[in-house]
Amino acid sequence: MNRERTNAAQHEGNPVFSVFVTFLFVTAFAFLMISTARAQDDAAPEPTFDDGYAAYQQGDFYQARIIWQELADQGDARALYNLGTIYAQGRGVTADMDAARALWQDAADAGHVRAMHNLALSLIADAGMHDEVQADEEYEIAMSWLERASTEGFPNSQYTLGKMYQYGLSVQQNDEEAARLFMEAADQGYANAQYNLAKLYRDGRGVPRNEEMSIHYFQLAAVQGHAGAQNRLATRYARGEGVEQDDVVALMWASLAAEQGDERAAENRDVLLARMSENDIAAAQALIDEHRASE
Amino acid sequence: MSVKAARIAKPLGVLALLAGMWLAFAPVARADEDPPRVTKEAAEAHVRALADSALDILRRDDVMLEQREATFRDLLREGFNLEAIGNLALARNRRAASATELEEYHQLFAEFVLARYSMLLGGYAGESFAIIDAQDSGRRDVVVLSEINRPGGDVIHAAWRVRDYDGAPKVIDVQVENISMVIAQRDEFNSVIQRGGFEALLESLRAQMELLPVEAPS
Repeated sequence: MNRERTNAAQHEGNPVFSVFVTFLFVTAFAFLMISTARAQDDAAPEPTFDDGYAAYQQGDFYQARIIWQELADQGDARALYNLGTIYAQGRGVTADMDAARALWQDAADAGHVRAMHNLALSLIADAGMHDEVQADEEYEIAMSWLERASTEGFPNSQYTLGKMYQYGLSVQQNDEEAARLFMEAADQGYANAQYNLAKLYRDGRGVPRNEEMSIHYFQLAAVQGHAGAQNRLATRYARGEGVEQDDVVALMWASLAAEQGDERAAENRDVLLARMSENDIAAAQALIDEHRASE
Repeated sequence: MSVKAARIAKPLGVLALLAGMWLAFAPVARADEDPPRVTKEAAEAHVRALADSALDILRRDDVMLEQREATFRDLLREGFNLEAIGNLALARNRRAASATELEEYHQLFAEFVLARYSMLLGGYAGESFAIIDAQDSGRRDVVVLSEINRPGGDVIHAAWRVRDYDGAPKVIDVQVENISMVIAQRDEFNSVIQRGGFEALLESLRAQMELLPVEAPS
């Protein structure tokens, strides 16, 4: 004990020892602080897909891209798809469809149906810029992705594939197959498919001619805001074709379509306005207000 | 627009449009037959009103981005002469199209250009817009030069070509960083039509309009 006290007493007055002790203390303190900071970093949550979407909605496309890029690097299919879409749209970056396609390809390979759909459409859009051989190749690849997405039940792809059968694009023209695909998409509420199926029923193409079914599908699409369907209904009601003649309902549909820029609907609206009473015009306006309230 | 407003609203001069459609940079009419030139004041006021309305729409962060841009597209639809722009983008290739094809083309083109511009110019909050100058261009047009200042220091230079249609100024072209929308589209459309005919152009436009937006969280 006396020896230890002697040793301590000897160090107390030694400046070198004091510096050494101070150095040890500072080093230990720094180490403690660094460790604490790292622990805090490890505990901070990584930005999520939802965080990226929130940034996107706020218009901070740069931040959205950073977040989704990090997730995409980890193989997140949704992030790959959204990142591709940002590049396709040129949101905060120079539009780059090649980069978009590459990202959509990775997402599609992972089973992302929206990516399959966009990849197919981008190839179709691009085909017109290339020679016939390359265009045919692009159409073939596009078709395979559309078929895969359609098989997965994706209504947008079912509709697009239906249009390709209807127009005979990269496939043998086939109205029955077009109608089948439109119906699958229409039954899922896809307005464009409802509209086109209505026209097939009207014309008896791919399905037996059926006025009632035609109006039914025009109605389904019109209620969802499809301007073309709204104008078709306006014409039917104005002429009493397949429905009881009713200028008030006709004017409602024509006006709703015209508001979306449909010029034929605007012409139909003007014809109706010229022949209707003030009371009937007011009744049509009430129907329009009611329709808008229900949207 | 209510049905009453539509009833009393004077329709746009469609015949005037058809008679007065010129290429953006190549006026061909005799001077004594030219429609009146839009004034610099009217052109500036039109662009300023468009920009002010646009910024009001785009700053609404309580509204979903897609809805903000849909409202923005409605604004552009009113402020732009989309049919004129569509015709300028087709140029001589209009002759290659049937009446039915032209009708579909104009519908698709309108949606295509509105979507492209709403994505290019929209979605941002906090930017400011300033008109720098207005210059006569050709026999009928005024080009309004502007800067769009984004937070963070980026500046976009945009030149708006404005023409008078029946007393109403309308935008018929926008140059963003010296790239003309009309010329860019004209070149692209011409290439597609040369390779695959008018139907190929329609198919390309249809496909582009069917591209899906970003996916929302589930």
